[in-house]
Amino acid sequence: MAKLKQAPAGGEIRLKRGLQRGTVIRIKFYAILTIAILFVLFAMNAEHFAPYDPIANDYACSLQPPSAEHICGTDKLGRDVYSRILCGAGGSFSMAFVMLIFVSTIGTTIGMLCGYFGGRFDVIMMRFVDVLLAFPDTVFAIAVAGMLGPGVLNAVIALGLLSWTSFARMARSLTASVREKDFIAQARFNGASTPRIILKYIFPNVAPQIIVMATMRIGGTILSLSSLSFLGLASQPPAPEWGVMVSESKAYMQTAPWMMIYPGLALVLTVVIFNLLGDSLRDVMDTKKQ
Amino acid sequence: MNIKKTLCLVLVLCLSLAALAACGRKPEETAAPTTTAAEKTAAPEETTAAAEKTTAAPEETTAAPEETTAAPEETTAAPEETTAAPEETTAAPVEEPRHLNAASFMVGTTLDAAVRYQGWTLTRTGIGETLVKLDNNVELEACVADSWEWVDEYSLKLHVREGITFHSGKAVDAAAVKLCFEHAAETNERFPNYIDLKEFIADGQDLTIVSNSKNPQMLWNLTEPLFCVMDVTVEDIANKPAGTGPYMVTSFVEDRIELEANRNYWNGEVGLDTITFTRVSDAEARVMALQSGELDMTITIDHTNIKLFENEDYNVSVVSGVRTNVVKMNHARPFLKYKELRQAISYAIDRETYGANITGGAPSVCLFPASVPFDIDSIEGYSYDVDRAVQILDDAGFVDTDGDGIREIDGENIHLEYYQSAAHGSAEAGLIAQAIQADLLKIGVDVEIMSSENMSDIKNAGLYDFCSDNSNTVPTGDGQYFLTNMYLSTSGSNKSGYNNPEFDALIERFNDAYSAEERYAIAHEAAQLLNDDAADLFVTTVPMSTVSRAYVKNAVQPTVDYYMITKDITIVR
Repeated sequence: MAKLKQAPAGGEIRLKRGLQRGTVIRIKFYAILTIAILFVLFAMNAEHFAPYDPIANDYACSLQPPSAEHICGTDKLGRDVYSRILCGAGGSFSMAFVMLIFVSTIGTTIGMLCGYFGGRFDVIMMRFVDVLLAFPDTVFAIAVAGMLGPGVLNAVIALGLLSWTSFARMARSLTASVREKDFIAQARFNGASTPRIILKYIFPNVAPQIIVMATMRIGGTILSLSSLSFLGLASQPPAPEWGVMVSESKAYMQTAPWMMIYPGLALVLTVVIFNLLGDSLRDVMDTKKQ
Repeated sequence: MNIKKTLCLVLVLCLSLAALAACGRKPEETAAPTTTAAEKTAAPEETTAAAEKTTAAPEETTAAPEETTAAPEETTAAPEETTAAPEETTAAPVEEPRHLNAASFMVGTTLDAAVRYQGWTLTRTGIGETLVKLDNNVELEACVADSWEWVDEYSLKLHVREGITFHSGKAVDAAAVKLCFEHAAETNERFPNYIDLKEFIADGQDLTIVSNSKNPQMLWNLTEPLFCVMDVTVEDIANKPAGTGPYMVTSFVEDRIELEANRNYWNGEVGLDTITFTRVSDAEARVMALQSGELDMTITIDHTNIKLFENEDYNVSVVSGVRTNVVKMNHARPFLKYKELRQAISYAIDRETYGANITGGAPSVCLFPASVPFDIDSIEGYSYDVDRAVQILDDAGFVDTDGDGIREIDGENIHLEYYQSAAHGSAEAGLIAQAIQADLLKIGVDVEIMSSENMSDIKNAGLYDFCSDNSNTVPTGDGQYFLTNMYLSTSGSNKSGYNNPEFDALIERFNDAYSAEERYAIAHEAAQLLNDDAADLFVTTVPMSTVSRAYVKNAVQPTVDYYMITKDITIVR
């Protein structure tokens, strides 16, 4: 964050005007951040909290409604739905997280190169991005995942193939605007090499927006991965993945609604938490004004 | 900004009010019954009924329920009947026409029985009938033909019942049947699988089918709905076909047939006046349509959902049927080529529990379900015996040497890939897969489950160790077709590499067996041989169900799933 101070934007004016508002936003952000961190810690250590083995079949208690022993009920094979939800959290989150790190790195690199150098490389890359953006992303992911075969890694690749493009777009436009700034000219004047300019002077101005964007994408990505699992293209049974669980519960919608409701709720909650986190992170960094 | 917010609020309010109003609306108030129809925009995928092929499950696709209640004809059929709640129907007039709304998971784009598997739609809706049919014991029964005999080993002579007319009014004679079958031969590529045709000879009411080779199963094959006896001289065979069955078509648009009673039906009174027969491909959607009163009758309900209908408002008819949940084992793969491993696996799976808890079917003894007359009771199958499975593996030297809980063969962990079709309609295949995975882990065999949208590619390429299947193992009431197709070493459909010369020789004997008893005995022997070789995992039978509203009478699930609507089904209020 220290590097941010180099940005010549009207940071001080902003601070004076919105001290009150800024504090509120910051408190809100830390609150949501705490919830999100707690969620992640909880999800990563779910095995310790889960009361049952998420993949152990127990036909004797098949399709039991929520009760004291099974607070979210059991599924057709007698597995505890609550334990499965808990253990599913880690997988969904970490896949989304890994994918976003990967995708935002690639997207940002390409975007910054395009924005900085411009010219033919930029034109070709951006037209390529345009082509990719023209694909409806879920349909494209289904097609690619279908071709690569079922599996979490393949699903991540399928989603990643398109999602780097928006990072590239964002990084490119930011780079292009920063490039014209006086401090870049100054740096060049002082004999800084191109890699140094890009890494030391441009990247810090691009990074905050990219981080905000990536954070806002976590929820959506978890949802997309779950959709692919629902279709049988990502996580494979008996993995306790939320999409798989919803898909398995389809036939029992009326006879055992808890099988569908609780994984669905978990999904909604997670997506809401990460969307809120992204929103408040954006507010904190006040990226709107840049 | 404020105006915008207010506008949004007003809009939301209006929408919620509209939604509330729609919920409380009485059926009488609705101008057309369309409001109750669960109309969805999802593309009505074409189920080409490939699912019905002997080797495949009746896959229910996830397409949304199509509109099933609105049709111009229904204005005469008292709309209350289709949309009203039960208490409102009591006031219906006494002489109300008996109209039935029925749905199945397939209807199709044409009513030409010779196209693909469309014949199945015709036999299921009571439009078309075959020369011979299968009764509930899966034995031959006279239908359009009343007697038959083998003239010699190549020629089968059938006598077409006298006095039957097509829906078009034309009399049914051997010449008409000949024309119809010739049309089928030209149109359908499956035709040669059933009849190795040399020629048809029509003489009055006598039709002689002459085959190029000795082909005794031809007689049973005539029960396949491809051989529906239709009048192929009618103008529009695709939309207004003329069969001999109890119901005739009044109109047809894709996936929706309007039918009326055939008053000249040869086999007695017909129980209903009109029928609307539609396709609702998703099993869950059929359940809900039945509950809402949109449908009066449907088939193939997931067995867990059956209990929703076990009360006085509905009739439920469940039979064990002719289908078997088979898990194919690929003998060409590095681990499953060992018979000992396959046998151990066969002992290690708990069919009884799967049947009771997952499929609702009975545990399978062999590939054939107990409903067929092949003396299944005396076949020796695999019981659930983990100790025995462990013993077999230990004896064969497949032991766990590195202590990771998984046995090895030649130093490699036994790791098997289990393909199941991505859950569509029914989750059972996936649940069986997970249950087997858990059971096999107990004997130190590692199974990885993979889902695939397109199982036929996986099967054809032989990429699987296990793959789930739902097979009609006696498609025409005879064992030869399925046994030959799936297990003969030279068969193109035998993708799992089963190869046993003894079995091939046994199958050869089918070609000389002209009596039912002889053929049943061969099928029995073949089933035992497949068990001894642990050819595949035969898990449980697949229960088949027909569920109807209480006022629908005689809607009974036949053992053979070629049939659904019969002349006996009627409505009594």
